Amino acid sequence: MTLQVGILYSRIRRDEKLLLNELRERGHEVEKIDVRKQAFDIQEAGEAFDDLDLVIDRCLATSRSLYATRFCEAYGIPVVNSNETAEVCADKVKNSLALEAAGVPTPATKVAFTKESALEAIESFGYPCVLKPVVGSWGRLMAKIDSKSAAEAILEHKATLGHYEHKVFYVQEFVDKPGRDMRVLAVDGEPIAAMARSSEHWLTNAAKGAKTEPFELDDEALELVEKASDAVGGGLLGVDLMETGDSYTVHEVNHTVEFKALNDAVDIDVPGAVVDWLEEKAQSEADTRSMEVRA
Amino acid sequence: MNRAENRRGCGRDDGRRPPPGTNYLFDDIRKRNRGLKLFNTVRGCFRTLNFTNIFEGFKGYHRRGWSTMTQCVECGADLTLHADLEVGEIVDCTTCGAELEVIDVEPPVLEKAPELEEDWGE
Ligand SMILES: Nc1ncnc2c1ncn2[C@@H]1O[C@H](COP(=O)(O)OP(=O)(O)OP(=O)(O)O)[C@@H](O)[C@H]1O
Ligand SMILES: [Zn+2]
Repeated sequence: MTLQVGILYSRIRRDEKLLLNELRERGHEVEKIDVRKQAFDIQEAGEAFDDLDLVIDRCLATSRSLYATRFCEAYGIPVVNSNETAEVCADKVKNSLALEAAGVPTPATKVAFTKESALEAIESFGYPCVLKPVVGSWGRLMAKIDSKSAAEAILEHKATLGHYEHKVFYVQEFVDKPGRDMRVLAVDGEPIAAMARSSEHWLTNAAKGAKTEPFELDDEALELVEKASDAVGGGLLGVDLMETGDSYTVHEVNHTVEFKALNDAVDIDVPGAVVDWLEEKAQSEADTRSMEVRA
Repeated sequence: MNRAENRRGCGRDDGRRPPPGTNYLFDDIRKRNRGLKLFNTVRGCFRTLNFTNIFEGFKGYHRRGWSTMTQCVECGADLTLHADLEVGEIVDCTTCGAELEVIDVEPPVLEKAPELEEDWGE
């Protein structure tokens, strides 16, 4: 079936372009929706949303992603990812809580609201440990803390100069990983492709220039990816894992996942596989709706 | 050559031709018709295609088949834009390094891109 697909965006990255090209190549109609130009009405959907079978949320800004997906759901349009998934993934605290609750191994984490209690949390983990902003990406504003004096300085700076979200201190044990972590792109828990990202630096984000290579998932990793995906409500996700020696730990799940680096690293046609899944998803949504109409 | 390479190698960035099957022509027409359709519905008649649409569509396809030139809005240097330019995309000025957002593609209009914000990311 030919689909009418809406893409929520504010910036077309190479990832979005890969998706757009793949969708158009298959004859689907694409409605690019620049969220900066929308005024979302609580009563009815704007013209841009007419006749859409599916919306893909590719908003760069977390706040926009959360509201825009909420509106899509209010308008009765299936959206990838769901608002529920976005809510959990957009916030590192909710992300960690969801993984922990689902029994997915995730680094030990504590959250504190004042620099005094944050320092206590840091001391309880010992050095080094990690301090992360609760919202944000690409490894930005992440701190590896090596000493008490460094901890005090960072907390002081955050408390004084930071935006209110930086007054939520997310403190995590430092995982002594072997110079790399893994990114798995998965659709409803089923991996499309995976890569290892290695760097001399403790931050191994592709956005920070880490070296990437394909990574073969073993049974344990496969199971963790599935559980991690379920934990956040499923969808098109980027599951990040670190090796702990005998097993893995999942440090986060991303909901507006970038895949250009992965597409370059592996032999798999990543946008092709993503669109395969989107087509299935749209079909099953349409089936459910027609069943509802008949019932 | 495997499938992925094959797909990726099909002229996306070589500045010469859009990827096979890229249906800019009809995409453009559909966009124009959205406005038209509304207008015409109000007037009580319905028209989906006219010659201007078709002509504009071909023009767009043709122009996008080759790289276009424009000027950097920051430094004024000449800028060569690749073939499959997309509204919302960011291009870097090779002269001054400015990040420019593509506002329109026909003809290309660029604006200084908004600064990166803290809550941006995956
Ligand atoms: N607890 C930890 N111990 C050691 N290294 C870590 C830890 N947490 C994160 N890292 C490293 O830092 C990098 C960035 O971490 P994380 O994914 O949490 O940040 P991010 O900014 O949300 O990145 P993105 O959203 O782009 O994946 C990871 O790739 C990993 O290599
Ligand atoms: Zn310039």
